[in-house]
Amino acid sequence: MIGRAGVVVGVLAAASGAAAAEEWRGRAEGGVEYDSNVQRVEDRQGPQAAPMSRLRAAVDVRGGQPRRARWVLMAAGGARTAMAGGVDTEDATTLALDGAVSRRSSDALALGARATHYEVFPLNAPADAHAFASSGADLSATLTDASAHVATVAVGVRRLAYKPDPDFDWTGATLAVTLEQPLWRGADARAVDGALGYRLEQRDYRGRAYVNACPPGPMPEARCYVPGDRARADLVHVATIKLSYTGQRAASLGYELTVDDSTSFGSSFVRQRLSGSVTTPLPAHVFATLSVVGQLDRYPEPQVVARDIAAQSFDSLDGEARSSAAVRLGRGFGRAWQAELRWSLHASALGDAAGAFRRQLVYAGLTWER
Amino acid sequence: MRLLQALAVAFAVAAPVIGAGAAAADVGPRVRVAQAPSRVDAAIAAVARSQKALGALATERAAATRRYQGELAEVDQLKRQKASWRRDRALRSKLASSLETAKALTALADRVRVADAELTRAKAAAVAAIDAAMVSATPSARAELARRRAAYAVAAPTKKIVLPDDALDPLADPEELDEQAAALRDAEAALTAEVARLDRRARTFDAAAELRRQHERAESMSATDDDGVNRVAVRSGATEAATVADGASAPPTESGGLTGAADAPTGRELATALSAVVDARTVDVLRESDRSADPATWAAASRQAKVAVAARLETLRKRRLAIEARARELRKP
Repeated sequence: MIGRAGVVVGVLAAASGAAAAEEWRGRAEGGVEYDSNVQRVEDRQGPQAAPMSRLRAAVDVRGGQPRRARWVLMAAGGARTAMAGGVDTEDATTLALDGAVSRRSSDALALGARATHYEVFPLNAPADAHAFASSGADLSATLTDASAHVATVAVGVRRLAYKPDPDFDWTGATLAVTLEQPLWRGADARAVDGALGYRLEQRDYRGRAYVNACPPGPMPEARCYVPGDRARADLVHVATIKLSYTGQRAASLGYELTVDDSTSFGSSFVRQRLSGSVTTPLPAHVFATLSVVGQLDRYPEPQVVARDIAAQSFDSLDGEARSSAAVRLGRGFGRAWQAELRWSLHASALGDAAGAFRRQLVYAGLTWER
Repeated sequence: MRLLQALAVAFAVAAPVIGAGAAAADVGPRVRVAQAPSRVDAAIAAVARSQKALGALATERAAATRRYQGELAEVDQLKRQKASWRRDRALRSKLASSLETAKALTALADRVRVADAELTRAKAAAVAAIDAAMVSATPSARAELARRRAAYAVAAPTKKIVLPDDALDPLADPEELDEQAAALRDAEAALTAEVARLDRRARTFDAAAELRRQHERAESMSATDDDGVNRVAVRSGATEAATVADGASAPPTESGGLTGAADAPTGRELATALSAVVDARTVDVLRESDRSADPATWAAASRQAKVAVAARLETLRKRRLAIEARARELRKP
């Protein structure tokens, strides 16, 4: 699979050369990671730890006329495999492709088109729970006014294929609106920027929607969840707000609200996610970043926690109420190399005793960038 | 914020003293001691007042401008209508009201100019107060004062740099050549200062770009930790699309937003200042850099401009040396 990704990257690089690309950028990174919960299972299922190797390479090329049509092509491939231990079901490679063109109609308006694909290929387990493919294409219009407001509207389609269970495959239309605004500009490149976003996804699933087969009243049991006659359809709203500061330090604060309104009984949820991170320079040209993410999920309907009953999967792809904290240290060497050290902790929401989850990652690696 | 802190400290100190004074009023007069705001705090407060006044005037002027444009549009619409007694009467009325608005706009423009000058004066006073305070400030306070000073320092006006004629006139006499060489020397000094300024600008933006790059890298690593289906979603209208738009990002504004910053001319202003010094492509790069929110883009544009200005400086220097040599040659007996 790494070979396949390499071929794609190579073809893209060659094509870009032929297309007289004005500029190309490459990035390669590799490192070793200790993962305390490789399979990402809940505590009661006995997490297994293992050292993992992590590799990734990406290249993007761009060209066109600065004031007219511009294009960008990006390809990336990655691999994450266990270096020791008995867990090899999580070994996987990834492939990402991204192509975009944009044409300025005037100083105020730019029209664009974009197509993307991201896929996870499991190496040893065909039914790896984290294997999927996600593709999308959209058309966008970007407006800029004299007051430096930037508004982008994009409409498109997206498809997701969940490899272990095709019932979770879905296709649907998307609409995304983003607003960006520099809130303040100071001396010494100090700046505060704000961004607002809203995304709407209509998801038509291949599988059927669950219905409640039990009479209303008592708390439904697992047997109450039976597939109905109609296909599952979700309407997902995602609203985001983000503030970023750059000065002596860089900081960002974001809030994301996701509302999944599903026709499948027990699948709707409301998710709130608050994230914040601060990067500060330290002595010896080291940069430290502290990141915290708090996530809270609320399910308006009862949730099934049993799995694989009567060969039916009750997993929810979006049902992970996990918060995290991370510290990263990075230091550059020369113009292209950088060393990184990172620790992160992922945990389920406080008070979630039934589905308690914990995962720690410690990563050390090198990055090359051109 | 500093004003609020100063007020809070003054209040905290003054409140118990005032309270004690009131309680002891029946036993005779006491001296009430409240912490007076420092000269720096007073100067900062004056700047804030001036900024607020200027902001209010700008809002008022924007509203008046919108009103005036609306009235002009109505006048235009009336003029296109078929002539009639009613139309003429309405037109006269609209013309009169638009004239009043125009007068009001003129008056507002004068007030804005006065307020702007007042703000400049207040900032200069604040810089002087900060300079005085820095002498006796502790190292930590000095950093804060330096930050304030950078924010209030009034930038040298970014004027277009006009270069003198650098062609050697074979018919010119030595006095004329001396004058030309002197003018070129002045121009060289201006360009040398500009090279230093562009170098500072590039280094500042490089540092900001590196900081932001590190921050974004940390955020992207967080995103790849959770490589679940919902975490690696292909987003519509994501950043790559904005990047390729090459103009989707907001430009850096010197005076936009809540407060303005001095000593940070925009790429557009630099392009104007250097339009007679550097080539058209560099001017274009400087102007276009304003459309990006990425400090790396600003740094690259500044570096390109610095190289172009340095090259022009070198050319001028060589021409001046040739002119001076010619003048010396003519003076030889």
